[in-house]
Amino acid sequence: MAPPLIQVDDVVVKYGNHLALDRVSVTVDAPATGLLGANGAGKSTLMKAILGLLTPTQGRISIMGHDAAKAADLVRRRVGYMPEHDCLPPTMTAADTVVHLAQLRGLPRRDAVRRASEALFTVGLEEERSRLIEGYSQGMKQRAKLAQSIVHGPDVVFLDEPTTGLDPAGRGEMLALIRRISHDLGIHVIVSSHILDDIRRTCDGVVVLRDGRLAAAEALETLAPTSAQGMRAEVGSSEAADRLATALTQGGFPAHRDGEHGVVMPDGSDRSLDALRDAAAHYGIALRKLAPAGGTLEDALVTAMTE
Amino acid sequence: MSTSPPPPPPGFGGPPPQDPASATPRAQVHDVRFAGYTGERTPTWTAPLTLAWWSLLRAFGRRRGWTSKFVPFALLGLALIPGVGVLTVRALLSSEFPGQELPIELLPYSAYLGMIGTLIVLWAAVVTPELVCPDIQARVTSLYFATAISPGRYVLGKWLASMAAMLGMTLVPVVVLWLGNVMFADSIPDALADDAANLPRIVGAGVIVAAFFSTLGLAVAAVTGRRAYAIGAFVGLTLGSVVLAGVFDSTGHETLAFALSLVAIPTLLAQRLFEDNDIPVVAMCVSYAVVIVVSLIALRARFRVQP
Repeated sequence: MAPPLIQVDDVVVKYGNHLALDRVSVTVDAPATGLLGANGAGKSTLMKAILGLLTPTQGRISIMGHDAAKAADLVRRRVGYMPEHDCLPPTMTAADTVVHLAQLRGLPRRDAVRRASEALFTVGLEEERSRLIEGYSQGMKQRAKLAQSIVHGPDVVFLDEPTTGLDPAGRGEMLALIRRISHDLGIHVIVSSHILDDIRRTCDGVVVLRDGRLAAAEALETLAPTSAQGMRAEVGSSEAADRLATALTQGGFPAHRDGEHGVVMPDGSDRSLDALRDAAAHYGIALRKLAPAGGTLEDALVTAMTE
Repeated sequence: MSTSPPPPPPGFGGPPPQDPASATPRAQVHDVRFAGYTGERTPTWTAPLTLAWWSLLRAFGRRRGWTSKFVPFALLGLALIPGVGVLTVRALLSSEFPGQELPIELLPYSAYLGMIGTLIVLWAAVVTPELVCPDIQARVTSLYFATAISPGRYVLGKWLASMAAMLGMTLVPVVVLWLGNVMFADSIPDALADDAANLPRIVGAGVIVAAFFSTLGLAVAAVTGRRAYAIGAFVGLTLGSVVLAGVFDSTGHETLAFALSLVAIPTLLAQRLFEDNDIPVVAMCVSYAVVIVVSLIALRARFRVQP
């Protein structure tokens, strides 16, 4: 049986008296995994510990079966890393930078040049590759960072806040690239982000940290409430909610009250939603909110991060 | 003008149709999209060499304007002037007085490094910060240490680059003088035989001076990410040590004065390879070793994985 992609066992990291990670144990194996948590939750610390940038006070981390501390050289060549902050030499071109990093990770020069060209093409920087990085926009820098992280064909790539500083169009393109990396290129992706939508759009699993402790580690579809729990409508008053629930039930669409102003329809099909719309129109009831019953993925993640 | 009619098609008097399976394909479809890398990888010990090579390219202004290249090449040009000047005089005198030996040695090898001592210090002050300061300022080191090269190998790669750059200054001018002396001699074979013993001394002297200033320069530059500060700190440290040595010398503490002057230590030790000079060799060797070891320890401590 192949070892898990990343195995974190009972890891503790202390900065002086501050406990940054408190006995975290988690196994990561999904094609794309989100690392979520509020500021100071321990995301960056966990990522740095996995990458070997800091030594845990206690515990063990293995990547693809290799001890991250003892086999650091081997691990370095099999992972890619895209830091959140600017980390590319401003006085080099993107092409030179990516070739240089590919060579450092063990690619012969000829292969490094070829793959740097391909990686820059993949991230959409082929036209700008000969410009000095100091002249790049933030979006171009993010793309160059992504190119260097995949140029050597890593088994797993760590992306720290990959959409930072991107405009909406650039963000969409970056998320599509990340999705492509994990699903088309077969490279495992670990995305650290505090933007839930980024995680939802790119990841299959999620690891949630809270105050240095593991709060959740599940597949997204397990964590996310599904439409099987129905839909919940919210109206302006309890009388209106009563009237709506009664009308729907009498019309053959089971519904019940939920909270002060809510009505839940366990059957969240389109027919039920049509009936809800018609009933609301018939009785002149304004629908204030319509959402999956039991909350959204965002609700579930926020709950895991904060409670 | 006549044109020949087109050949009849197969089955109408033309050549028999080819079996598609046996026909040589005229085109082939390749999947050239970015994919995983399965080629060979270079051994990890090559990473410091790769880093050194790219660091040198950056330090000497690759793909940057002439202003980035001007200072180092101007310093090298100035360092060549004494040797080239002496060779020019020698060539002129040789043509005026053919077959006669010059009564004096215009520029002994032992004196050359002392003569360009100021240029060597300036060279170290300018070049060594270029090797590490941009990495610190742009935070490239976190990227290196996470996925490319260990901190120890990083220091080794930078030291090799620094050493190569310094050897350019401490070896090239003296070797040019040596070559010129041989080439302008009446009998090249005789000159080669007479002067061959000086070549290892020239190399040894160059290595002694280069190792000292490259290590010290790197250690000082690694303290800050700002090149201007690093240059100022290095020049200040070396000049300060000379002033301090002067103070001790004036109070009769000659040995201490020799052992404290960061300019005199490597230069006079290098000179010792050519001739006996009246210096406290043991004290200066101890000083030399202390500076190298402390600088290396400081470098290793500056670039390390957080404990």
